Amino acid sequence: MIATCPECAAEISLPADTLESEIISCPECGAELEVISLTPPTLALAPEVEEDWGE
Amino acid sequence: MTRVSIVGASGYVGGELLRLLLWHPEVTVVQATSGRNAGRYLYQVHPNLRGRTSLQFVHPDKLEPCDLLFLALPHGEAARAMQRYTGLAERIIDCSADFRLSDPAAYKRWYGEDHPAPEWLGRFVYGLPEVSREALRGAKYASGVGCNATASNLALLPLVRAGLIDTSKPVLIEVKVGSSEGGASSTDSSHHPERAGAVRSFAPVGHRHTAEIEQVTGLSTPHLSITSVELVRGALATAHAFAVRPIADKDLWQAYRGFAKEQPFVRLVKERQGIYRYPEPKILAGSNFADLGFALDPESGRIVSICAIDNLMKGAAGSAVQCMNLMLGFEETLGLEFPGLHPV
Amino acid sequence: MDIDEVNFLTAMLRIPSVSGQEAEVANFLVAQMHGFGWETYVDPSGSAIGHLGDSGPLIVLLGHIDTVPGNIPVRIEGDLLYGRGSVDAKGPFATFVMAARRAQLAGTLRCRIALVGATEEEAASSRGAHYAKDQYAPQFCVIGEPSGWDRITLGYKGRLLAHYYYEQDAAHSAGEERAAPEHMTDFWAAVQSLCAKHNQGHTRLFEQMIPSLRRVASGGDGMSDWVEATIGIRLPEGVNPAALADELEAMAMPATLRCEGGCPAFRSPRTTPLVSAFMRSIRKAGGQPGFLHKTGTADMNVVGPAWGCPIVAYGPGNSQLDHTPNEHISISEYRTAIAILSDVLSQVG
Repeated sequence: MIATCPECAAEISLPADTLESEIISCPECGAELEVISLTPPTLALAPEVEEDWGE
Repeated sequence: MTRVSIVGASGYVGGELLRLLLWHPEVTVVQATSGRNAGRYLYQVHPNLRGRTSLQFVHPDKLEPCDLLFLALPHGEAARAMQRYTGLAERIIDCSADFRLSDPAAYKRWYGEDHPAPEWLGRFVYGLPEVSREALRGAKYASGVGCNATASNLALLPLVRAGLIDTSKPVLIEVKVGSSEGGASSTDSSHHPERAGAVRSFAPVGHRHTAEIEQVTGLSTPHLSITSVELVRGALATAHAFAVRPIADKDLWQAYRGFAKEQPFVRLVKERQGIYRYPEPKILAGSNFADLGFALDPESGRIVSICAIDNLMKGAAGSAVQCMNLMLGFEETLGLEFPGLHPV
Repeated sequence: MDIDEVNFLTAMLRIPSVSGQEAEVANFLVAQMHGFGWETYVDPSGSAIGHLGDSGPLIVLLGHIDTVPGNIPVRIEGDLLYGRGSVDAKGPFATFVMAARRAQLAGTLRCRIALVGATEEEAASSRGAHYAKDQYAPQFCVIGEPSGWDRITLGYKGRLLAHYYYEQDAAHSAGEERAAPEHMTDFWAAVQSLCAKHNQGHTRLFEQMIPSLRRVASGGDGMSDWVEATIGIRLPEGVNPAALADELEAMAMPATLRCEGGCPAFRSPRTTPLVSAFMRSIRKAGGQPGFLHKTGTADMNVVGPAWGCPIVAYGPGNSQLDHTPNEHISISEYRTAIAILSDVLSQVG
């Protein structure tokens, strides 16, 4: 499966056992991406990590 | 084995050529000349070569025929003696500035005199494989490259080739360079108490390498400034250009990736985290890699393109050996795979 | 279900369990989990342990069962359940137990689960987690701390506690000698400026050193004057607590400084199957998953580096209510979190 990085347009080949909602790193630009669909393989930028006070 | 000799082998570029060629699997270094050091062992000038070769410098007058000659002489000397050198070797790579510019008028404008051998200009291929790879294959004569020009050209070429630069706006390039660019001879300004710790505006305007940038990129007015910084090896070019149309990071990635994938020694460096997020010359010391990175200010459309090299390698001897590989039909990367050191 | 999810948490909240006094709640948990047919015991650190599942990878669900002091009458008002520990962290641990139970009853478990109701997380000792660290080598771990039902915590800052003590001969307050409390405020100012210097250029809280003055006391008996204070510093990645303690001890001289609870920051990657499982389950429940880095310190800092496995912290509740007199949890959020975690447990293995 080939998907395109939404950040840098790199073509990323996804392993056959990839599941929806998996988070991967783009091998070219390092962006963390969520597999939002498998048909067709589609990637979206994973949500920013927020900061929160407390435990 | 191909027999090569180096003329002017006692300088820093000569030393790097020796380091690369002595370990190159397809060539044998036959002679290394130096007028001042004739009779001395190579390691007495280039201490890193100790124990690896018993060669001694020979006087330039003793230069014998060979297959390929590297010329690493002060600017102007090669052009004045072309007849002699072409009689000694079928192929020549001249690391000086003498044959980099194809236009004699540009030479006169930037070097202040008429070219000593204009008839030879058209016979030399510009020695940056990233721009003249096909012409270099099998070529007889190749020029060297300017180190600052190379860092600048590699920073700009991805943008130029993708047509992303607004040529109606200025293109500014600031290059920070190490002290080895000044060559092996000392001057008042290289005296350690004066040079150490300096951030010296060496050539805010008027640097000769501007001509090479114009020639390679086709930009009519690249504005170049050079600053000497606390490095021995290394050059970092930071080029500022404005996008011709609204673009996103993605467009730049495509442009840079398109350029880099054709180039065995160009790597893209643009990380989101960590210490080495952009190109850093420090980790390229001794390596032939040129690391490219970029950033985009979407508000203003300013593109900042960054290229780090080792000035003695990609900016001189490394590119010259890469040219040799192409001229002689060897694997382009042969003898040049060293990735640099970390930490250093 | 043999015990209602809300009744289970309410019963936990009714048993006070300030750090160091967790025996009663641990016994309650062991009895409950034993009733589910799980292998249970109180381990030597006082933690309540429950094991279930026969095969598959081991996932440790570790939540602390101690609380900070402060009695909050346990009560339900509409959808809100009040009580000390409802958020931090009995609510999350009750979620763990109920989710494991639900997945087991549904027959969807493909992993082995070790539930660890850990002691003394709210003390500097983290006793339960330190003991557990050497007992398991799990493939996955979830820490019980409030993240909110639709968010996943990936990292916590480090921490160092410093106890300051200074004593000097009594002196007249109109004299030129600086009073003992003034020596302490000088040190506090130096700590603040040390942190401010480190924080230059760091806009993210996770990258900052954040100091807090937790306690100050002073007094005298006519012969000598003394002052003591406790300072806590929340540490970013890259700051070594032991090295910082040495630096602070030197700064505090001639006062004595005793440091404890040193714990480095910890951050877990999110490119793991565990995080993906949470993402899928939260989306399935109609949520938009979010990720958190927290300014506090948790048992993840203790077991995360030791186990080196995919690890997140998860649990219902709003951590803004941690340690407050208003601590409460939304019952509907608690139930949703149980459903989500139960679904996660069914995906692991």
